[in-house]
Amino acid sequence: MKFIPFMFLLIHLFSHGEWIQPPLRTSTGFRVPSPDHYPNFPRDHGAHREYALEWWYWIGHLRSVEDKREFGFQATVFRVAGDPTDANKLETSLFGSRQLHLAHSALSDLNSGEYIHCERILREGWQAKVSTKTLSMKVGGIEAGLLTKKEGHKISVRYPNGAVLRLALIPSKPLVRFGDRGLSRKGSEPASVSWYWTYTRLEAKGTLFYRGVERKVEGLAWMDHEISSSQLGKGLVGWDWTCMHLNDGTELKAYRLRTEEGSCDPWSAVYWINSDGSTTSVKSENFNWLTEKFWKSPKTKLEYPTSVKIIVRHPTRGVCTYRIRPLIENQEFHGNRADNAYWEGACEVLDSTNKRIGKAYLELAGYGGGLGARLN
Amino acid sequence: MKRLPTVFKLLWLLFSITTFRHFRAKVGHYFLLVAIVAVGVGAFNGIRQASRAASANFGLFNQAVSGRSDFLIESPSQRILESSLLDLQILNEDPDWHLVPVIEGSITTLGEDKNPEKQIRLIGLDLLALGNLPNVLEQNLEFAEKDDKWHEWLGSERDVWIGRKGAEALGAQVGDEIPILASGRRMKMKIRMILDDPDGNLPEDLALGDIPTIQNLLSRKGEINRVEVILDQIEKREDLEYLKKIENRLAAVLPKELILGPTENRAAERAAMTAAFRLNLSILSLIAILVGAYLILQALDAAVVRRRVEIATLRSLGIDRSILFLAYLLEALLLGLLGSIAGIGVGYLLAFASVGMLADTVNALYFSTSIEALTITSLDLGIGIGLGLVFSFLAGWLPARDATQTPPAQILARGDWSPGFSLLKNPKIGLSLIAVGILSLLLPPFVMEGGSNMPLGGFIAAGCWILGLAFLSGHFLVLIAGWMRPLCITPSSRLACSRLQDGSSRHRLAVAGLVVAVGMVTGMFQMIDSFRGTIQEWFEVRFQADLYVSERGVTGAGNLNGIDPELMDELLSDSTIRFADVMHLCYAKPKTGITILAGVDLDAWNDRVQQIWLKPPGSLKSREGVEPALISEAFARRFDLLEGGVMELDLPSGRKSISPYGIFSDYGNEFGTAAIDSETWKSWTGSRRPVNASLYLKDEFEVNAARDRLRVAFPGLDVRNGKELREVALGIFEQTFKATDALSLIGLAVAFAGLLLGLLSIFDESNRTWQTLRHLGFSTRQFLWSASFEGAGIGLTAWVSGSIAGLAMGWLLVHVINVQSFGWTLIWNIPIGEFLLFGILLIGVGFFSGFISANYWNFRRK
Amino acid sequence: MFDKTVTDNYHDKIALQVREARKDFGKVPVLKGINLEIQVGERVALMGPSGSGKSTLLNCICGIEPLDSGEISLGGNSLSNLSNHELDKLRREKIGYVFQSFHLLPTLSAFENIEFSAQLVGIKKNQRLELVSHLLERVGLSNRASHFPDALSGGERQRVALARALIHKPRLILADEPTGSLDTANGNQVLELLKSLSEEHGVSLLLVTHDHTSTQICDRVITMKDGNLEIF
Repeated sequence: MKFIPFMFLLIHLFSHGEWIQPPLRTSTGFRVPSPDHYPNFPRDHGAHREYALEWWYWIGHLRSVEDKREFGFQATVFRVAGDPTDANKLETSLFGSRQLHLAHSALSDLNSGEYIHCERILREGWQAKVSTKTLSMKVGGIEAGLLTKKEGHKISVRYPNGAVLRLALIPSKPLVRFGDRGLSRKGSEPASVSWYWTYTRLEAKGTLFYRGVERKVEGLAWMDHEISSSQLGKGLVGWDWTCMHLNDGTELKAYRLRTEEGSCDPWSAVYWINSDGSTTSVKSENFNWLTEKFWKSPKTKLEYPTSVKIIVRHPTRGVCTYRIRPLIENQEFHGNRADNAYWEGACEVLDSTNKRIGKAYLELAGYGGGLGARLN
Repeated sequence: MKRLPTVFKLLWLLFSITTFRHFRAKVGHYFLLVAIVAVGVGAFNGIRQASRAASANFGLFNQAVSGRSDFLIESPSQRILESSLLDLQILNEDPDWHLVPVIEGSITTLGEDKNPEKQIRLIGLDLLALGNLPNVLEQNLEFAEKDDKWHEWLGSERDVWIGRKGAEALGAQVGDEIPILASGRRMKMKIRMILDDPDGNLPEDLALGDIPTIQNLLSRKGEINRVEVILDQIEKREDLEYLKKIENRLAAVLPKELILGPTENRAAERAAMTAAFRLNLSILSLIAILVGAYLILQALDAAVVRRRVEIATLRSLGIDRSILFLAYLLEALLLGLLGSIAGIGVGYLLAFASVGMLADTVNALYFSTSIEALTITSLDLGIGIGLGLVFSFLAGWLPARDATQTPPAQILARGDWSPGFSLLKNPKIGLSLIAVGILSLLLPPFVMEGGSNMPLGGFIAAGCWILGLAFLSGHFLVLIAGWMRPLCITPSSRLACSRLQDGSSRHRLAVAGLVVAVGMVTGMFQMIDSFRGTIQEWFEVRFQADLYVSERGVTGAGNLNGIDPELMDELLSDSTIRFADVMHLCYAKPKTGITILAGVDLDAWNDRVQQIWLKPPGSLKSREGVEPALISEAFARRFDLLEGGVMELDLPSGRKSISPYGIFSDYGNEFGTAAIDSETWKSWTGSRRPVNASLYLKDEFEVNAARDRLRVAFPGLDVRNGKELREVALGIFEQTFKATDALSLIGLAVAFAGLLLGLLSIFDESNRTWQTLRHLGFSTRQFLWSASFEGAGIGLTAWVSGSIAGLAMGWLLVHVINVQSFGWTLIWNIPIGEFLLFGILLIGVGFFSGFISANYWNFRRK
Repeated sequence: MFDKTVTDNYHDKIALQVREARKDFGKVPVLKGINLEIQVGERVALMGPSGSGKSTLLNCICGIEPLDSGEISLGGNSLSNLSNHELDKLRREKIGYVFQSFHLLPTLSAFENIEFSAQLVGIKKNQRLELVSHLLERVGLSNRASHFPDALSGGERQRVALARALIHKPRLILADEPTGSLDTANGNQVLELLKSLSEEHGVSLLLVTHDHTSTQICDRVITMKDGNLEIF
């Protein structure tokens, strides 16, 4: 769930052709991501405190080695900066006053249909620590860091009732840097840009302690890290976002931004990540996002279009059809606040002949549960 | 089988043709009866509720905001350094609970005249993380108009949030800057927002702020008081198995210098510390019920007397004694039931009126508490109604028996008739009660959960002696009337005296009721007076320094807020000071309960600083290799160290041992104090925060001039000379006895009502006598005089026997109850002046009661 | 010693005069215009069935109940002119009352019961003690002086009551069935005492009775019926 508190973070993943030079700083004093920046790891895995907003996002499909049970997981850490010009703050190393963090974690037990999740909003300090030097963070129940040989990273996620997921994630494809000159543009405002880096295919291995049993698990995961300082454009009510691991070794990322009028915003897009890590993209006029079935939440009574069909024209392969089916229906995340619900869950991907061609994670926000825009 | 329906029918017949008609005919009278029961039950209920509300949240003020916590992580000294907090980080990851660090302290607002005005509890919480708590989410507490402005208020220098009640009490609005005194400094806090608190749960003396803000305001950077643990799934908090599991998970990773326990334990522990105090209140309120029961007895008895002719007639008509007995008992129960139901309301009102006062007392004596909303539980209802019924049953017994002993009309017609309660005429009962009381003094004190002692035997003795003397007071009445008789020369006084000397059981009953009240009140007089005298004496010796410095505005024995150490250093560098006795205090944890560890200049205490020594330094041999300490009498008694020994205390730096080499008298607190060397104290506690200092000036400086100069230089500190300190201390002392005073007043008021009723019933019983007297030409004025003399005689006897009971009470309170429950040796003072004044008052009240009731009786007859 | 209005006009030989005395209880007339005169030293028996108004008349005569109309004068003092205070005074000085059920004060001894009345009218202590002793002797109870009422028999109690009624030398004794609670022997003894004492002290007597034998000690008998007097 990376969009929820950050609607302003919407990423426009393809260039509109003409280059708009971003300013050095926003009007509020935050730095603006600069073009042609190649991430310098491990430093750029860490937090970028001078920038207003940042998130780290992991999802994946797992299967237990022994009893072949299937699980989906989500873990997201957000960082929001306070006023960069305010010098008169009292803060201690344990109770920081300049940055706050959110941690969202969810686990879908695809065999039993159980879905557990949890949200924490924390200030930086003793309950939320994110290094600025490398991937090293501990925010609420989510902890992440580099593997000892730096061949990948590890995360551990704690869930309610004592459940813990510990994974080592090793990329099998190079990092994808979305956008023109390394800047993902999300609006025509000069400052509406972000650095958007993704490991689209990570080999996941680890353990899951769940319902009193520890299982070895393995599977495929996806990780996003985005840094920006800009706000979201007006007139949007929500978005649908998905990322797919297709069986052919490619990945697909697609999203549509829904406007108040019910139409699809021009910044919406579909991306293919090819086997070699290169990307191909089309913009909104080249795809259709169709709802096939709604699911109504018994808890919030909200309706989510959980079964969708994406029909998209690939620049070279022609029209492709991707049907997304939730592996379990109830994957609704309700945060601390009742008005902050969204749906994000493990799905399968079918082609036009209903053959399974991969697995996906689907995120549906702004269906009456608000956008969690309290913090933006 | 056949008898039962007949009994019911007969009872119903009796009720419908007599009882209910009496009710109807004398609505006002029966209303009064019900009201009397209501006052008795109400006093008990009210005190229960008020003491519960006043001591519900010992020091956990934040729970008004963060909700009830399930576990507490504390350090023995109730201070946790932020660095130790880091050790808890591993606990932070778990989504099944929330860790809520809390810092709290007292500050005082300054009025326009720059004098301390109102004491406020300052609570620091992580206002951002608060948003995760189930209770906060449920209450929908908002700390800002817009969430996205969090960075404007998080970590601000002096922004605080208050509830609506607090805003009203302070007369504050959003944005107001309120001058305060905190840790000896003068500062300002700014009202950031008035919290929307629809249920009004936020106490009016609570101000809330972000942790760094509160640390700044209290000058306690890097320090918090405790960490509370709140379960995420609050619906599972009743699930003991789940709680146990969580506790095990918490305990597994808890650093060992910290203590984990269910929150209830702490409340129980603190409650136990105040248990002696609350027990005192309960006993006083039970006395109120007893007096209430006595009133019911009086009232029902009066009803029997008034209906004597009717009863006699019924008897002549062949109504069985047992039916009459049942009818009167039922009537008593009916009155008891109605009265106890009304008593619930009365109790609520009383609690409402007294809760603030009780909270003040608890605050001054023990720990800071917040007043919780008054609640009436079903247990309250049960206990209230149960007590009302039991006591009205007991109170109905004698009159009902009296009714059954009424002879048939033919015999009654022969003259005044009063079977009386033979119980009251038998001195054996009173004497055996007194003997039982003496024996019960042999019982050892009962050790309660929190480690405090309850003087069980003392309380039993108190009850027995008061009751015993109440029983015997009738004999005093006859004796005293006999002595007075030669002095009575007018017809009115002679008549009155002859009636008193006759010692009818009704007269005895009236005296007995008063004796209970008088004994209780005069006993309390003595205890308070002994306390005052002892403390004054203690002051004379103990406080011989020139000036005393403490944090300004903050009062209360349990308050260990302290002074900013840098400020103290600055003060001590003043050139007029020859020597300063700086006191550091913190809580320490013995095996059970809680006690106080002081850091002082032990060398100075050994010679320069004056004390009243129970055992002077050196008279006990402290164990070698163990930290030597001087301990207070309360400490010595509580931990059985009167003859020396070793005591282990849990402190932030681990478990430490001390060994006493002297015992001093200390009336400052009942938890007990152990004083060790300042430097050791600092290393053991990791703090250098002093609580107060006694200053000895160089000879060439004038005390008051130095005081005035220091006051100007340190506006946040109280600098007092010896005389001023004494006044303040005595002020606190008086505060602590407010509740006791109020209860004595209730007791006296009820006793006065009882006397009125008793006299009315006596006059009713003497109806025939008055008729005769009228025929003999006895004028109304003479009748009134005679009645007033009779009342005065009862007052006099009650004073005499009540004073004996009171002296016994005083002795018990000073020599048994105080020593056992507080560990204090008091000098027994008998306030003769007050005793005499009270006697005059009582005779006056008796005289006046006689006058009023005779007037009323006369008026009713017409 | 006496209030001006309460004068001692017994020289005209009329101790009690009742003129046209009327008294209603609600709508029920109890006294329907009673006329009665009792001479000084005269003993009059008042008979009549229950409810004929005898007790009411007695209560009116001693001023405990006021008349609706008519007049009662004792020794020339019209009761209607007297205040409550003066009525109390008149009662304790001029009237002696003897009750059917004696009505001794239970907390006082026989001696004290008698003395009490004397004390009420302010007779000095020495004189009082002498008078009480004399009267106790006269009613034959010297040996019972210190006994309390509940230790005395009915006859003894009534004799104490008689002494009490006479100690302050009243002008009129009102006796309401004085023998009603006594057996014949005791009754006769009391009646004899009543007669001799009234003669000795020159006191008028109004004796309410049911019993014809009691009337023997009286000079005349009047009968009351339905609130009217029938004089024989």
